[in-house]
Amino acid sequence: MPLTNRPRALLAVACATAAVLAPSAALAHDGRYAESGDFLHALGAWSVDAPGLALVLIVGGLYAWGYYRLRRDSPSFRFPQWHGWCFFAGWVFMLLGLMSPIDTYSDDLFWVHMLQHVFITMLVAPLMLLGAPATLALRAASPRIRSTYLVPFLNSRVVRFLTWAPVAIIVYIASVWSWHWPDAYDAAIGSEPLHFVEHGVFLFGALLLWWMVIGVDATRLRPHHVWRCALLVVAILQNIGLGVILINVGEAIYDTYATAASVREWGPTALIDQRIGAGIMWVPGSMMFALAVIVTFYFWAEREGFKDRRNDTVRDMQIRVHGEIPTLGPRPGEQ
Amino acid sequence: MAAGAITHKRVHPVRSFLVGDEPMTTGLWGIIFFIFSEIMFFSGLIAAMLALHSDTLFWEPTNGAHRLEGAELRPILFTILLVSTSIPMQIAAFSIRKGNRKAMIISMAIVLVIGISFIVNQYFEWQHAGFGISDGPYAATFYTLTGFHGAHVIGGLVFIFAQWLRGLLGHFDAKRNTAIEAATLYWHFVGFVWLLVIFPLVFFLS
Amino acid sequence: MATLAGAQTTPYAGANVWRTILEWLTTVDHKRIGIMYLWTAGAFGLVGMAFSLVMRTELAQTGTIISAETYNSIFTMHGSVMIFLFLLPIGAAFMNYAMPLQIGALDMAFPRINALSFWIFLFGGVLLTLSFAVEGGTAAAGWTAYPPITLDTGNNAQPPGAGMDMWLVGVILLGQAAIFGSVNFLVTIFKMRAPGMTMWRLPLFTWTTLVTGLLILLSTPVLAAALALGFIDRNGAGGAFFDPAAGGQPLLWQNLFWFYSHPAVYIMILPAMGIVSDVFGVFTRRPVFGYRSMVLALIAIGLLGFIVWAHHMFTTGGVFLPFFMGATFLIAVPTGVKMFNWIATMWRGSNIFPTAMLFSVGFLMLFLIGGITGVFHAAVPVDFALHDTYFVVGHFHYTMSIAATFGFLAGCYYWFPKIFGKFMNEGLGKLHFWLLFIGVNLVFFTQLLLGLDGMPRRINDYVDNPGWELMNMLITIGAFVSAAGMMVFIYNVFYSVKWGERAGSDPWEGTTLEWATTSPPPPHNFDSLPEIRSERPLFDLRFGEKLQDDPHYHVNNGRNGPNGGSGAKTPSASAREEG
Repeated sequence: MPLTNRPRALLAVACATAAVLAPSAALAHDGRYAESGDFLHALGAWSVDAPGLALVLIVGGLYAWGYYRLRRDSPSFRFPQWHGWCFFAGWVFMLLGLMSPIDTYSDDLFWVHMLQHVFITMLVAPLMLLGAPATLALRAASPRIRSTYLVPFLNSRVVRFLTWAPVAIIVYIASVWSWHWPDAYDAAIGSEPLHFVEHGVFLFGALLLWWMVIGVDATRLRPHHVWRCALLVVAILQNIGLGVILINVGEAIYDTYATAASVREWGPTALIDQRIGAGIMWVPGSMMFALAVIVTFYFWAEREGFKDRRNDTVRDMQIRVHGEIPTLGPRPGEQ
Repeated sequence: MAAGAITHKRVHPVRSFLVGDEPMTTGLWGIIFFIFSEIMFFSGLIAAMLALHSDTLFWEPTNGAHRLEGAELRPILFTILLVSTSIPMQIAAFSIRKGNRKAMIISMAIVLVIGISFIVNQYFEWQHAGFGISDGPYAATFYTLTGFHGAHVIGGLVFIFAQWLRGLLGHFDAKRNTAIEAATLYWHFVGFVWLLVIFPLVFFLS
Repeated sequence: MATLAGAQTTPYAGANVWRTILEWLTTVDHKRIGIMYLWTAGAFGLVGMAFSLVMRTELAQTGTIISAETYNSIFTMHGSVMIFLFLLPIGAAFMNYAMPLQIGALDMAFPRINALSFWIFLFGGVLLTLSFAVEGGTAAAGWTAYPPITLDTGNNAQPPGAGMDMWLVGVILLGQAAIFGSVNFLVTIFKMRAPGMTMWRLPLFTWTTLVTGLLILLSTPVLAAALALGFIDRNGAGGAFFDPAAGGQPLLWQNLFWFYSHPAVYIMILPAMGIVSDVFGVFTRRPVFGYRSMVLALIAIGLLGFIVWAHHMFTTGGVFLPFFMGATFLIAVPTGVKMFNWIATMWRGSNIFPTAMLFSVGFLMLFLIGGITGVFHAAVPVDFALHDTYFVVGHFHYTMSIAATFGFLAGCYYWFPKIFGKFMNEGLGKLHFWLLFIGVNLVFFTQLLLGLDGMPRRINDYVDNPGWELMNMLITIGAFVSAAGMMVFIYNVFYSVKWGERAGSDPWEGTTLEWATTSPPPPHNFDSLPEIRSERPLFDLRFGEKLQDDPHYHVNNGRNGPNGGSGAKTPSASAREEG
């Protein structure tokens, strides 16, 4: 990388980090306890706030603008509609996470907060990546922006290091485990900026992991499908591990929710609440990864089938030219 | 290299591990799968420790002795020593990839010396612990985790020693070095499982 | 076709007996190791069956013949021997024997580690069974070995002795053997395939080997950790891990144990499923319906198996119920996919029913009953009502024990001509099938009814409930009928080895590569291999020429997918057909 591009790349990294962190700002709570556990009441308890709305609109608007520019400037470029639909779905889940009753009740109930995290890591991140944001950005940006910021950023060492499979999975695991340490978790709920950072870190780790798995955008060092499955299995196992620990802890370890449970007159006890949350992490959380493993495996099948047909054609031609070639002999990859 | 000469393109094993399309020897596949199983073994032990820790009232040893604290110099020193041996071990792998057997033997000897000193230190650590294995959940998990890890360090050292002897006999070269790569991967595993998990849990879990 | 017809000499004709024995003891050939696994696991299976007959004799009527302590030992050893020494290694036996042949490999990736794995297994098995000889008797805590029953606590009515330690160490050794074996299988599948044998042309049995290997690799070490903790707990730690009185947690054991033992159920059943898939693919004379969906369903089963182990602990109160209930229900989906695929394979196939096929169809029926009773259990209220009754016993015997056994017996009949070069006797085989089928259904369906009636498991007498006598007597009769069936099988094996009808290299008109070599195969497995263009290379070899002009055959050829197969276009295949 030329030296002159480094400050720009660093700036771009900073901007991207900020962009990743920004949407989560409004995911942090406002510190009030909900009054009622009644389901219908809860359905109406939306917490629409201006910054959250603005962020959702900016993220969605940027994508829509890029999509519009792409269609206008390079109509022949193959950018299927389902990218747009996937991003839209991710955007809807982001909206739900930001403003729906899930956000309102996440201060009172651990399991609702867990649901919010599952939304961030298991739905928003993969769906938005399925929208091929990097491809869209590269395609829709003006040449100056593209060559000055986007390309140096995507080629920068930081990005290459972070999108290296072992680093990505370690960052993801570290992001999940570190924030579930009781002190960190309580501190995050207690302080607005920390909560902001917490959700940002979750989203960041999840984006990295899903970036490895979802092969929509072109990147360097894309792992083989089998290794993608392996990454996902590791993710499942660590998910299970944390879920088991949280379920089997005999007491409510998060003070905030213990207090909330003692203050309110409805809802489960703090321990039950914690167990529901851990169960959500364990089963639906793992289920998303399991689904991803099966889908990844299916696409591996497709790709292998393609390679099979190509190799067969080559071998048929060799046989036509050289006569019969014995199948026994050196294995592929051995000398 | 002269044009026309048949060049054997040696694939970087880490790269082939990640990208997966390039050939990897059976030995490397084998050791990677085996390390997976080892990770699961330690996951089981660590999950047990965390579960016990989260649900036990008396984490201190029951005979009144004090827990070992990581803030002391010696454990930290030996942790740094053990983890830093990953570097000479990797250097050994790098040098044999270039065909430099002498450098490989020297760096492996360094690994062996430091690894043995780690085990010896572990022995003294156990001697001065002040509590026995039957003194409550902390004491039991302490001896179990450090013991199993020590056993794996010894296993890794035996593995490396055997390859070191083979190196003295002139066994490896730039093409045939799977055993060295395997020993390197295993040694990294042994070091990192200590650095990332066992050391912080044993010495810093309050 | 010279290589396919092959010389029918036995490649292992040793000079004298001692030399032959020495050759077998020092062998690293995957086929011989597989055969040794087969004999050893079969022998252990008979030991386990003998234990079950002792139990059934005791339970036939009220009143006691053997003491409660002995009964505890017997049911513990029945479970342990059947699971760790029969069902798990018999899968490894077929994987060892058939998998390298199916992928066209010359041997396993690590032949010496393969031999090591067998000898560790044998040593662990002997250690486990020898515990009858030590003071204090065998382990008597059930195969699940829940603490604190395993510990020497004061309030333990039957404090276990050295037998318990031997059990723990023995199972650790067996697990170690399984881990070495699975590493070997995985590397073999990933690295040793013949040219053209790509991943999506692997026979389904090889696929199940792969998934089983992954399950073993990820779950068995956790069991090893649990067993090691249990051993330390008994010898030194004084119950600090699992004894609540000393600050330990019994639930910790249950979590670690079931983290292994739920996937272990799939480790036992998946190879049987693979065998059955291959058998269907041969005896229906059709490609197995939905090859890819079979593989994806396998993987889904494997993954879900890791998520749901807590459903074994519903009644402990340490589990959050609804999620595990839901996840457990989900397992029925991929299993159902496989079930329908098998049925669809038979649908309008040119089915023939030699004994191997009979056992496969029997497998479907038994596994269906087992699976459906499993769905009952997944519902928490039902599970609370039926926990620890004979309903549970009936359920898990139907699925992982007897259905898996039927699968493995199908494998025996299917691969016997390959292993020994001779057919098994069909008449005796059919007698075996019907005796066993009637016997096991009598046993286990009656056990389901008995469980609904409320009889708890693991008791040696039910003197307060004489109403259970009739059903218990039926179960005992069924057990002895099954045992008679197995005696027929044993006789059949020895009879067929000695006097069986000679089988050629490809007696069933098989589709996978193991039928492309002589029976029994030479030590190096293959003299030559056919071109591999689909997951049914021998089918292409046999019918490629004929199907070239068949318009129906070309419908799928554009994809060359598993159900298509472009072998028809292969010049070398047609050359072979002519020669």
